[in-house]
Amino acid sequence: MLNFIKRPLDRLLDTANMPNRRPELRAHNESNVDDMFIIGDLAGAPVIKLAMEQGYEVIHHIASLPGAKGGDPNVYDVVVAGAGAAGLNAALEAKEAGLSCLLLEKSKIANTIENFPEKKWVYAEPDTKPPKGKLWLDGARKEDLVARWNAMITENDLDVRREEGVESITRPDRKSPFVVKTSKGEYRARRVIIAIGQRGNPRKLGVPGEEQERVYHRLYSPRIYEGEDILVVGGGNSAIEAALVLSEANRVTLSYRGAEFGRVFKDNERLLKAAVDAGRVEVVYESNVTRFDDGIYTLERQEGGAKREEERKFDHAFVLVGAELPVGFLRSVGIRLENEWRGNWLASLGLTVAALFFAGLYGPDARMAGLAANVPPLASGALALLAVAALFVTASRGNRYSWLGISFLACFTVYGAKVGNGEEFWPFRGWGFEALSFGDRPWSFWYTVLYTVLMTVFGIQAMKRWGFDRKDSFQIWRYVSLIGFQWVFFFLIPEFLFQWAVQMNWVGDTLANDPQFAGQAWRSYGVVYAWPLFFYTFFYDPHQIWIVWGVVLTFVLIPILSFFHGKRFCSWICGCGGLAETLGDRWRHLAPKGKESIRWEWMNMAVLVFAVVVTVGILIKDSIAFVRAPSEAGLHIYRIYVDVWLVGILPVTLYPFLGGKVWCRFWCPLAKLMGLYSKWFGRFQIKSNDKCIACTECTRNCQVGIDVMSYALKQEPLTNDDSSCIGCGICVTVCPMDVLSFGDEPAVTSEKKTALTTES
Amino acid sequence: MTNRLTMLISFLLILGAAFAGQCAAADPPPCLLCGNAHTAAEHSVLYKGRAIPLCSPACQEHFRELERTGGLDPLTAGIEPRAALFQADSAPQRLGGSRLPFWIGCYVLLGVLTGGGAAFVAVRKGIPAGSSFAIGFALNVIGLAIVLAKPARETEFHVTGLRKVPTTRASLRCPDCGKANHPSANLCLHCGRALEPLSRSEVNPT
Repeated sequence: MLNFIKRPLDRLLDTANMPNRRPELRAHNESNVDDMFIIGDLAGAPVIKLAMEQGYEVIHHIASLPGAKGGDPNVYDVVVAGAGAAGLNAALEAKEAGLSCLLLEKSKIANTIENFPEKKWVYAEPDTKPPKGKLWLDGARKEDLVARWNAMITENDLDVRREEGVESITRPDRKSPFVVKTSKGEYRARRVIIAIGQRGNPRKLGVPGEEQERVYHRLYSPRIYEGEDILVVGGGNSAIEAALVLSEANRVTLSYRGAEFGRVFKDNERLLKAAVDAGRVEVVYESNVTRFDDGIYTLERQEGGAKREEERKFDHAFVLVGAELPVGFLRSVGIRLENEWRGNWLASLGLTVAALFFAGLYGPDARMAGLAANVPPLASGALALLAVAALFVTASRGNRYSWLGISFLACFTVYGAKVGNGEEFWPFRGWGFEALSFGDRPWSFWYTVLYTVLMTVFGIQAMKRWGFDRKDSFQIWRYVSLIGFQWVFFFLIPEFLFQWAVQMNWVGDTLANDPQFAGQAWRSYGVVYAWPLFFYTFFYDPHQIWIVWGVVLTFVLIPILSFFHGKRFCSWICGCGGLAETLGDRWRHLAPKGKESIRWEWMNMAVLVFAVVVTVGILIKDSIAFVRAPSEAGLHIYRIYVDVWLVGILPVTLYPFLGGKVWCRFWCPLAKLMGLYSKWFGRFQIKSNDKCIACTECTRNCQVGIDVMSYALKQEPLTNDDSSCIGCGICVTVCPMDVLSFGDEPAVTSEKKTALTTES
Repeated sequence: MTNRLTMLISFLLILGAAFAGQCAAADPPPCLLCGNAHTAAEHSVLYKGRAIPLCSPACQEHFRELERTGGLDPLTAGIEPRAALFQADSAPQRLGGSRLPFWIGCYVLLGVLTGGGAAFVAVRKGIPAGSSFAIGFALNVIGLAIVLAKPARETEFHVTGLRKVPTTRASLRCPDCGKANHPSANLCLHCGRALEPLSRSEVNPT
């Protein structure tokens, strides 16, 4: 039974790591280990130029730190592990900055580029960004590029140790230098930069016989194979391109574990189809190689729901299933990975419950009187604070469950105490609302202030990240819009202007003196929030103005907006989405991704249906007697579970763990309604040109978990037909190759691929 | 993974416990009709958005009778509508308090708008967007005017927001050896022949 829940949940949570995990990084690419930095491919730099930039910027940061230059000849200021683009540029910059620097490389200079196929053209994308640092970079054949880089090492007299890989990095204590142990010696360093990449660590199948001579994990010179039986394993572009080029002079079998190729270039898909039609390549879907023997491999195939094994002969095999993060090495030096659940969950749970329990004893709630009889209120309050402090201590030591506990306690307090009128959630009942109300204002007012301030501060930070730093005016306006709507429609109007309008008769005598209108300031949230997000639009004794406006907003204006802009309400206007886009922005990469997570989006359809049923029930309950009780029960459930737990407590608690869009994506009924409008008659779309390099940046940064890259690779338009895209445009902004654009832009075909095809 | 699952189940248990705590009755208000202090949730009803406390099936029946005869409004007029959960207390008591948050809000709002405008102008002019936003935010309209008055800066690497067009050119072929070079190359990488660059180099070749 547990497995029934565990397996899909496991798959869902792990989708955030796709396709590879990354180390947990702080500002300036510093890892969780102080003074240890990670740059390049490992840190997610999608292209050479951006890897170089990381090397340049990390050295600039290090050089700016007090005491960056140690002066001890036995201790290097910086040791760089890995002489790829990032590591080389860092070493060159360190030299420029006057830092003593040692560059360690376990094999050759620029080993990843060195291992590209012969004469491969290396591009200096993105063209819109100048390279930073001293390392030369222009488009060139890989042989010429590597030759230039080797020449630069000599010209600049860099201290490089080739074929000397790092085996361990240790530091006795925070004040001592690192001890970097290699295959040939031991060095001491004040700071270490890890730039070892992950391409040099190809993923393996882990089957018997894989280590034999004729099984490779990269294809270097395809032309040397002729008339052979060749097996290629993999479903990515590397595997397909290898199969295609090998099929020119060989018999090729392509084995792939999936039922279809999901992430391949449109051109590759076309060329592969032609090769299969011509009989040059046999593709075996849903198959796994289970062992390699001498000239024979065993293939397990899925046929009609049953597994079948068969043996086939081969001369050479190429296992091209991607690269792996060197997890073992990173963990051995103390580096944590993103989205890694570490720590003692039981201790964290105990502390969380203890904090709630003791906070409950503090309160005057009669139910707790028996328990609290012998515990003075101050002592129970102090115990609650002690439990929270212990959570902070364990969290600061890397216990992620404790962070979850802290996040939960914070959100539970904010929302649980806000209900007011003596109905606060336990343990805040009877005192929470009052304790948090001050300055002649109730807690709900200060909650709105807190919400707005958070959105403003983190919104400006997000505006800097996506707008100012990337010179993207679209993102600047988007964040201005989000912050502006929050201030005007979700703070100034409901908290001040509506009441002043009534007091000063701005709305006319009739409305100002009608308690049905004047006494319900909270309804002004409905100016922008449409039903069913603003669930109470049509009941709780509304003035007819609000009913008319609610109908117009939900059934006229929102459909028109959806027609032109899909679900951009979520990313330009909505306060719920606004908090996710601002406070939750830093965790956007942790959103569950791909098809697995999209399956869970059925929940917002369920909430929409529930909202419709309850609304209809409430509207007709006075006319049909037997509807009354279930409708009122449904309303109570909706208020507690949807309006408190699903909107407030749970999603904000989960921001640092599942990204900011948990409510918007999985539970918001209005988002679902707009998705349906957009799917039925919308024209919103994101288009792609043919320049995708499969760097995964777009997919990684999508808060609603769309595998944008799979659309980009196939040049298929991304719409709301099969995705919950909210049109935030971060995928467009973040793409280093300018592949993506919104639908009103013409699809651009670069000349580059044509030129490349002609050359080869 | 078992850890995650256990944690999730544990939090669901906390959620359930908290809900149970929420549902447990606080000191109830007296019955609207007979004044009895012992009202109960199962006897109470909703009327025009107002939660009406009642104490027994008899009072409930009496309430229905008044509802049918239209005699309820005078009795319930003093009870505020329940309203949306978070705005239940949003009625007149909020009219007190300082107006300072409102004026701060207006200033910040205007600052965000003019700051955003200044940053937009800065991106177009190729000048730093962050500091322009700060000027616009702090000085409002005056800050925007200052940024508008600044001269544009020439920049080749100008990203025009989402209206991006790939600018990569085709590689440059050497007339002598026919090999491909980067469009910005001024010398052939293969035979050394002088070339006419198609675009400016991104860096100064060493």
